[in-house]
Amino acid sequence: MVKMRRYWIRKLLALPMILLVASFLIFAAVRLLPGDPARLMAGMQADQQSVNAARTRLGLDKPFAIQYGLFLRGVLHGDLGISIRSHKPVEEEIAQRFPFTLALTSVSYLFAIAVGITSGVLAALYAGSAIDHAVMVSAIAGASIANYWLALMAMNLFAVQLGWLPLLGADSWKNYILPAITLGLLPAAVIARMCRASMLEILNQDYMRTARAKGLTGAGLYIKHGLRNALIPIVTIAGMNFGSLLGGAVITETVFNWPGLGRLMVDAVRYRDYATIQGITLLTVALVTLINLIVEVMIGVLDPRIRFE
Amino acid sequence: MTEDTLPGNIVQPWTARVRSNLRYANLSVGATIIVLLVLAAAFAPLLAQRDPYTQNLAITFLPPGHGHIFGTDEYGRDMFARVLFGARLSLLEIALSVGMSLTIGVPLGLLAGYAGGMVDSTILWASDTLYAFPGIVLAILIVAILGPGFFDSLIAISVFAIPAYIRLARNLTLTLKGSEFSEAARALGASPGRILFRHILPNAALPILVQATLTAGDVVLTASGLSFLGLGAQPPLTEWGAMMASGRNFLGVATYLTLFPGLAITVTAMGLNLLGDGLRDRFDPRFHKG
Amino acid sequence: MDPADHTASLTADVLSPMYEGLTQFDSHLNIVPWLATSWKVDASGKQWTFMLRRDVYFHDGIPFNAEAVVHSFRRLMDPARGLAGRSRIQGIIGSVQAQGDHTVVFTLMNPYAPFLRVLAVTPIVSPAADNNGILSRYAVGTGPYRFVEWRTGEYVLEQRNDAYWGKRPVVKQLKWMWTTEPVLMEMSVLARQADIVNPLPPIFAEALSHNRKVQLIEGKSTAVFWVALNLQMKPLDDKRVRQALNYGVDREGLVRTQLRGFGTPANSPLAPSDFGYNPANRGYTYDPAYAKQLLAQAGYPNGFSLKIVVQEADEPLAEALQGMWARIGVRLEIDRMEHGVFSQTIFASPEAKRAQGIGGVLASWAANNADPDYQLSPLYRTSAWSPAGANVGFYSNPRLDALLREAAGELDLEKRKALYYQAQRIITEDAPHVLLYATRDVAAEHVGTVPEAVHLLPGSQIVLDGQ
Repeated sequence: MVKMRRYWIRKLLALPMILLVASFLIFAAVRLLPGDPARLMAGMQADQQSVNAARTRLGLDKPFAIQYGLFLRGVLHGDLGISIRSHKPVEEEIAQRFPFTLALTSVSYLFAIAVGITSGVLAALYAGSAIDHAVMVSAIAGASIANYWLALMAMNLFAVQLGWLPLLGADSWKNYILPAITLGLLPAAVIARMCRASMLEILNQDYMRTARAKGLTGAGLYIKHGLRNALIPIVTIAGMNFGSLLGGAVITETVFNWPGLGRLMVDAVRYRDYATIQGITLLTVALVTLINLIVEVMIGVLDPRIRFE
Repeated sequence: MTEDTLPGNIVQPWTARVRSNLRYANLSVGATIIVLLVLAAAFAPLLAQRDPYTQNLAITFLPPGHGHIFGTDEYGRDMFARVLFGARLSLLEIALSVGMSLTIGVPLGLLAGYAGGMVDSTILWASDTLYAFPGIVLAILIVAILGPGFFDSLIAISVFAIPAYIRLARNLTLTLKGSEFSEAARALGASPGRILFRHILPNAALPILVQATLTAGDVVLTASGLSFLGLGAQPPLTEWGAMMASGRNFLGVATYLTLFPGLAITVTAMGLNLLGDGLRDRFDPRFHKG
Repeated sequence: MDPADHTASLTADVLSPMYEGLTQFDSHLNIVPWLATSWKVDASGKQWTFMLRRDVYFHDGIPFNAEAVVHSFRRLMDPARGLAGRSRIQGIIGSVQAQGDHTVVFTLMNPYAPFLRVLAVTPIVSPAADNNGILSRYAVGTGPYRFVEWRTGEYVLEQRNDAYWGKRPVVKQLKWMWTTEPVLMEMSVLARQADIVNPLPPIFAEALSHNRKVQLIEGKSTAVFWVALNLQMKPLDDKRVRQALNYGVDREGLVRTQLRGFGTPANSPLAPSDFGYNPANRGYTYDPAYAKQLLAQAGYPNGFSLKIVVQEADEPLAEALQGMWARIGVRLEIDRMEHGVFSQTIFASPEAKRAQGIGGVLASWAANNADPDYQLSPLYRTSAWSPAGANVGFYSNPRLDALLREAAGELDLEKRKALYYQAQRIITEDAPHVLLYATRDVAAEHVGTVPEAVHLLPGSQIVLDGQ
């Protein structure tokens, strides 16, 4: 127990360290970007004097260390700076757009887990059957499709040819269908394969055979004994995939014109909106780190046997 | 556990049947796709009959059919030739990018696992920090710094694959370090370097290879995603993602411009995933016990 | 949201229903009185006096008056404010003074013929809103629509201004959404998820032109696309080489394939909608054989390699050039850049460009006031060599400089036109740019959704005509 507590304390202490280093990396990386935000702010048709004025306004004429210091102080006070493009505070922009990304990733996550677990369990129960084959082939295909391509094809079919689904905005549940499926497909495929593999393994375990020998059959058996144990690798893989889901959101949001953080990030990089890039990247890094930690905790809860070193 | 110790219940026949079916199906289908891809890349000029870069503004947007089985693009270039030549770039992409992440990730993982202590925690911690950046976000930043281009996007893709190799190599080393042959080698006075590279690495090679095959599929997808965002190969390179990125502006008008490169990406990624799965099923020690 | 502090023309589109200038363009691009009801200019051509419209109020209730006009211009002219719009009036206006409540006097540095056009694209803002520092986030003007809400990445909402002084529009509410995906625009207007899409890429304009559900709204050709050649580099310092590159471009082919017919081949550095454009100016024909001959004369019978920079959106055009120039032996290397890098690279000094081996820049220029001075001076005058201006290829011809200076101050329209005819001839002959085409602005409306006429102004700005 002492060992475990020490492990957790170490993990928790590492968290701010990772964030501090990440913040420095992000800050430095952003300043390594070629391109001049002052020129962008002043406009393509501006003269040198206006460009210099813009540079002062952005605080980019100060030494690097001072800029970083000011940035860190700001972050600690919840102040992420002002966006060059919208002239709004970055934290306000993020607060406005993060819910859209969160909603989209959550919906596609639920979709991925529902579809992934159902088909994975089915495939394992009916291993070797046509169902199994269909699930496995779809899973491999799902993990192999470029999601933006699928998005484009789906948009063309469902929104333009058939006219069933909307294209613009994010206000109705219908707006979620295409992007959520697009984004959720890859994790669904991964979860399905994982779920099938661990279900098969568990179905082979002694206690399952014992349970069956005791006359326990039916869905209850599988759910009570099988699924619970199969959950461990699923939680692991699901947690690990959260980062890539956030990453995938960048492309999906671009394709679907989704008003979330991913598209904001792409635009911010394109327009050298330093403060916005810093804010979004820092937030995602913090989120991913936190979620990885939560996943570890959950695994610990699900399976106390797992050792920590 | 061997099969004949199992009581005659329904569990065993399932798994045995599935494994023998799927294992070899995966492996052979995957290998076939990849071999075909390599052949297509090697003989692209012969198969295509046309130059993928020659423009002809008199025959733009020809739908698939007569003389141009995949149609022509907005410059009147033959899409079949472009998709075929694209196979060359994709293979190069895979080889370079997987190669880069392997050569950086694996030695670091070996070192971390073998040395332990401060070295281990430092490497692990650095790898965790890198891993905390969602792949595409990291790639966008790296490409933005380096400037868009074929090789620059490869570097970006390689960098974010590194943590996975570090972790894998480290865990394998931890396991293998305690194994009998390592102990024996150490007892015989072998140097750490010798133990690492002569004893541990050869035994770790197979799982690493499986992992590499599986990530190769992701490489193709990610590279095309970067191209799609305008951060990949420069024109007029026949990179599939770049072809799709420009083709998407003609969706509905000339949908085949996105269809064929998209299919090519999907088939390639599928081939690699099947191959990787097949290899894992065949060589993963966990599957031998059943 | 600040009309003086944005750079993208699409932002101008969103702001234009809320802001107004002292003058305005009608749909034929003539200047008409707007917030100023009349004006006069003195004999020197430098002092302009404007009589202001009375009983006009800003959306925040503040009266529109001389003080507001003075405030709007002074904040623009203040270098310390560093507003992006400064470059548009810099070097033109010397001072601006109020004379009583309803008269404003501008003193120009030099006589400037298109001054009234400059005023049409300089919005008057509420001084109170500016003093409160809220203009970057809220729009407070005098226009027919009031600002309601701006959700970044989602939409901007505008409500009809019922206290508007002029002709009231029919449409009660405007909702602006934007996308970086052209195909989404086509799909949304087809599926009636948008009433109007603007600007519509040519390929979709062509596809939709046969669709009965959609009606195209066409403006005039305004933006001229070109490759500015770096005259500080060999072999581009040789006029024959530059002309050869011009002869090597199939402009008709470009208009047909890149613009799907929605534009005109460039025969002049001016766009057809610009004042003084000479439709009869003799541009370059497509003559690859002659181009090769010129290259041989210049000492490059086997052609040469040329690197140009281009931003993402214009990359297809560069790719088409790559194919065309390959036929005259010129190997074109395209360096596609993100917007942020591009804007920095193209404004680099001659030394920096030579060091990077940048032989050309593919870009476009549109004079949003449809005046030839704004189309030519920033691009071709010696004083506009980058980084000071957009003469990014370092072209210099003292005769042209003098001509452009004279034409800018010439108030007699016929004389002014004649000067620009000369300027067009000189620039075409010297060939500092490979002139490609002028695009025609196109928007599309889902038939029957907008209860009033709509037209486009230069810079693809959409205008509701009201009733």
